[in-house]
Amino acid sequence: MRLVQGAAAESPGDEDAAQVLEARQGDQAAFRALFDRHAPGVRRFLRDLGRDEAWADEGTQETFIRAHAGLGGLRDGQRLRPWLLGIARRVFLEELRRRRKHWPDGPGAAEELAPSPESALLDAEASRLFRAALARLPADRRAVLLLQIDHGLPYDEIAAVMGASPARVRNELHRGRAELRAFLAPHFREEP
Amino acid sequence: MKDAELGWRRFERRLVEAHVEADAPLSPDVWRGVEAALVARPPRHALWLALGALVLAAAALVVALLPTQRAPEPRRVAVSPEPSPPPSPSPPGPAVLNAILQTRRPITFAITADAARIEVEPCGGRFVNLTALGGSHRELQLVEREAGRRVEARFDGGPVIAGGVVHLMVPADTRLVISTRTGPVVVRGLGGPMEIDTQSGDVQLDTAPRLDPDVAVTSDSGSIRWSGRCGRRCRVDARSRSGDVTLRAPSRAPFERGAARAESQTGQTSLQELECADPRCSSPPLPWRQPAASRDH
Repeated sequence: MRLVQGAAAESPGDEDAAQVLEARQGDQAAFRALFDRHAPGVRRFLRDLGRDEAWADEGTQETFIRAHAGLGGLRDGQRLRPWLLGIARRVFLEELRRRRKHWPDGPGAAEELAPSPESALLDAEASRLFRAALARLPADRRAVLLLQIDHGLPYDEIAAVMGASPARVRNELHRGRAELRAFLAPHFREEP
Repeated sequence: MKDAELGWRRFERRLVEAHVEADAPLSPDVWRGVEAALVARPPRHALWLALGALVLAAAALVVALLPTQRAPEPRRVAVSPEPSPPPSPSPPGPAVLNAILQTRRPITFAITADAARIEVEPCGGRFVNLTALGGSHRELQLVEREAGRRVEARFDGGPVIAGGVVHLMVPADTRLVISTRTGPVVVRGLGGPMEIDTQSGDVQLDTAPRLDPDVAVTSDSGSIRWSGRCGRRCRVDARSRSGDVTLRAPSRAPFERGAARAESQTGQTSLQELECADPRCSSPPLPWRQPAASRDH
């Protein structure tokens, strides 16, 4: 069953839409409010994709700088969150291409930072375990999975962010979950 | 089967919640960087193109008016009629040259100067806008090479600008290659890689708010000053034979395993407020050689 909030309550989407309008008109305080609300999620998304704390800060900066420049092109202010995550994903892909070009053997190569199952087993702390499991997935699958289970986007919005069809998103989610569970199986315990 | 699936979903949810809770708070530096970029960024790219066109028009106007601009001759009193000296050919006046080039991808921009001062700033779009003031050249061209990946400035058909001031605006991610003999170089707010070489020209760089600048500066006798932030993959390599070298980062800069190097044989080196907050910095694997006379972070 789904609980529906009263009409008087302003949803985050409404708040976003109002502040997007103000930010478009040059109100920096409104843009700052949007930044404060969405930057932590954007940063987490970038960190989980790139597995690099320092770069995640820079990627978040770049995402919001681009978002500010492109606010005029955002049709529906209520869909700000998937729009920002889409920009963040493009920023990540550009960084990935740059790393592969300049440091073909350096950080950013897909398997480089992926921890071994042994090291993950040693580190049973939940967040690290989750990151270790994510790190084993290919970048696109990881992004799809994160967009759903961490950022709560529906299929159509994930498809828009990824530039893929909803069918492909479902497929990637299914495979991503299967891989995630295969890695997490030794740690899985049913809740009482 | 259904219970197992529900169990997995609950487990997944617990992991995600733990993952979100473990998220470190966002550093205020991130917003500062965005704010700084927004201040530097013009509201619309078209404004800059219009500004470039305006500069171009003004330059054309100045060049057109220069030959006719003569100082008013003092009024002569006709006491004794003297034959006026023959008019001497007017020397070429200081030209204002401007060129704008639209680019479609990140570029390398290369410029070589003799005594000209070079100032570089980021623009808000994908174009290069170069204005040369006070030089002796008559023609300026921006030449694309390597299928548009490299842009070079040509002055009267040659690669070197002799004197005057060059004001250059390029996309923030441009790779800069600058070489001068005595001309100073000033670069502000760019985030792309930079290779700068001077004989005696001073170099002043500010790469904030970027976290990971990639800067290599060499000078024979010029001083080098760099300021900016030095993140994990930062590389700042400043070397002068006899000039002073100063590297400065804001206090408590997020400096993690980055590498900043100041080296001078007879000048002074100074690393201000560059502190490594990461315990791994005690044995950093520096990616290049470590001569004894240098100071590394």
